[in-house]
Amino acid sequence: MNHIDVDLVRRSLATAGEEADEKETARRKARFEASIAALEADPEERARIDSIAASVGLEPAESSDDADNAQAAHQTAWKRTLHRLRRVRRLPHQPPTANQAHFDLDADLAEIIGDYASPAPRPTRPPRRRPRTSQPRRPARARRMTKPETTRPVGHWEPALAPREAAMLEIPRREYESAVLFARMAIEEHKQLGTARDQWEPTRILNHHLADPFITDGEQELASRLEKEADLVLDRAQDLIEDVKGYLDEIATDARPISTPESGSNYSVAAAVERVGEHDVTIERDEAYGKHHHRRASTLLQRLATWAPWLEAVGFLTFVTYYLNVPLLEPWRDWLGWSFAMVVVVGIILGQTCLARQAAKSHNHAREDHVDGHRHEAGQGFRKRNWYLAETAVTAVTVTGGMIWRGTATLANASIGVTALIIFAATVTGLLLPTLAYLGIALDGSKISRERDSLAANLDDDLDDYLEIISDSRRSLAGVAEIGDTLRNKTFPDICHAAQETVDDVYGFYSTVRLLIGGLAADPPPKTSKSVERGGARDISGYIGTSIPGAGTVNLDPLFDRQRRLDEIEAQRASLLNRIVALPTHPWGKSHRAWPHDDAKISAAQTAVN
Amino acid sequence: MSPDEEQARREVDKFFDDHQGELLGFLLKMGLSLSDAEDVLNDSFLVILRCWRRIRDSNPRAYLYEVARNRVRTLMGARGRKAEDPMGDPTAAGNANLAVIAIDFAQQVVDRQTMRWALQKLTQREREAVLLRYYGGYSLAEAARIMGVTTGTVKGYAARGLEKLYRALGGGDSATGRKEGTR
Repeated sequence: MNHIDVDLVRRSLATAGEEADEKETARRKARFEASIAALEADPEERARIDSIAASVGLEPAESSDDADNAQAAHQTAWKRTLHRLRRVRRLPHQPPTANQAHFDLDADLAEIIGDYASPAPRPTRPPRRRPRTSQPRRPARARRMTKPETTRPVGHWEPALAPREAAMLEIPRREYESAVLFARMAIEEHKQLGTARDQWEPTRILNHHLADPFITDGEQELASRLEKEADLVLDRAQDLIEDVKGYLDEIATDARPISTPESGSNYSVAAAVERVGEHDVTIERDEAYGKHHHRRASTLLQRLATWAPWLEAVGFLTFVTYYLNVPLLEPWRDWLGWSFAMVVVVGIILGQTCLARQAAKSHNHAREDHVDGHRHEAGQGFRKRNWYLAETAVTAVTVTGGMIWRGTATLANASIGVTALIIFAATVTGLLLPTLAYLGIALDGSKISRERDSLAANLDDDLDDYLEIISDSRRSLAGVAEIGDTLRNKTFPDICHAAQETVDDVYGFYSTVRLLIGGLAADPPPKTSKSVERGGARDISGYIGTSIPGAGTVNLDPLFDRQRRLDEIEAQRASLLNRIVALPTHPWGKSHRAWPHDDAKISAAQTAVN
Repeated sequence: MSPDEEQARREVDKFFDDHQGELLGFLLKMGLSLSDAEDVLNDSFLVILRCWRRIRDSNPRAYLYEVARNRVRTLMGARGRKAEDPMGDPTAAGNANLAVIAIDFAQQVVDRQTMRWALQKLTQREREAVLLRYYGGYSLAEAARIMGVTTGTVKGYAARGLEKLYRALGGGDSATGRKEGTR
């Protein structure tokens, strides 16, 4: 028989049947009382019961009428015993005196015990041992049933399972020993209380003690998993909250100024927007009056103006390499020539670029002054431009001519096509590129339009940053909400379930205790399935414990602490979400990166002016 | 009625309340009908009442089971038949199992009847050994005293009884074939 079967049989046998019916119990009790009355009144019934008792070796107790006879028989038995003892010990026979009304058993017994304690007189011959077969022998069963229990206390209890049987049931030795202790304590207590045998369940206080280690394990499981799984997530949620707070505080303080290199001024966002609006009005008004000096150069021209000096430098260096035989990539071959070439090229590029830019700026300012009616300043500007232009032209023509001459000299026998290509390349490098650089700056709108476009670009960047911050904040708050949902719907229930499973291990030990007690009428308590639940929308309710009476429950304070912390984070999240919703819209509603941007708007402005 | 008799009467009343349920279960599982079981139960407690002053200080519960066991044997011997088959159709229990932890009341009834039917597949001694050990919760020594045999014999009866129970309930051959308590 394997170990499972014994346990199942035990539990199967413990299933209560008709004997558990309380009404029938009362009926049987009434019948028993009626039978007692009949027993007292009916000698035949008494004889029948006595015969049943005799069949199991029991002598019916003496009734009140038979008490004297029983006492007499008792004394007779003692007399016989004393007689035998005296004969064995060879004590002088002392017949009772005439005044001795009855046989004093206690005195005689004390006398004999005293005789046995004192040295006995040496016998004349050793007493002959009776052969074993001559001793009166009663049936073993009768001897066992009637023998007084001298080795065991009254009501002795032994575990229903011996250690070897428990081992067959795969009950660990230590668990068995511990369960025996609990079972013994329960039984002792029930014996004192006089509880019915089939109700010797472990008491509540014992249940509390036997379940306590499992409850402690459950608490440790709960606390450790909360530290490992919940705290990290809560910290991350708190970090996200702090990040969003920083973002929103940054938006609220508006600490970043809007600056423009044209005027060198710093504006707040609102002031910059207002400034752009003023410039727009000015530009549109001038356009309406036919003043087109605010129009910016094309983007291509602006970029060419920016990159022309670098392209020019590349062209010069190429010329120096191929036509002057200067090893630019191998300077160690001719340090002197290499240094000279680099100085000349860099000097030419820097000087020519500087002259061209000064000429262009002078032209741009003079043109604006001219349009605004500042003739004197315009005249000065144009003269300054001419002076710079002359210097630039001389430099450009000289460099270009030198390159053509040197190129043709180097390629003396070159064809006309090659010569034309050399002339074209030198012209582009020496003349066209400086010219483009000049035009890109000279025709690039006015100071107002450049400042306006610069402010608009910065405001665009600020708007982008603003929208990105709000988007990041909303994303972070969504992450916090997701963390909260995960904690409530998955992490916390999982942890509680694990703690419940840890606590539920007590049922095995509890069953072992009940098994060792044995003969219990009630079924073992079913495993509790109730654990921590979400009572309301957010509140946690329930317990982690067992259905064992008197057993404690797991302290859920660590869980409630995390729940409170999560609630606080949720409250902060809601507050930040409200702050985001309540944020004022950015004053820079849409991008106006470059002007002109709307011909219809210009037309409308012209119409208004007219 | 003398004070001693009143005292004994009160003690036997309490003893009856404490043990009548389990004894009735024992008798029913021994195969008696409910009416027979109640008769034997009544007689057993009357014997205990008659002998109370002799046995009150030893182990009256063991005497109670001993009397009941003898009465069952006498009753069945007089009727010359085996115990009743409470299931009626033994083949219906072929697929029964020992899952008596069911909460459903009807299932509990079926489980109980199945177990009673299976117990009738055991011999008288085996049934006594199994019930005394695993229903009455007696130790081997106590069961041996009640049955009037040695503890080793009780072990043998109980092991064989469990094995028969297992087979009767559809469990097939035992996994180990070892007797209970044997090495």
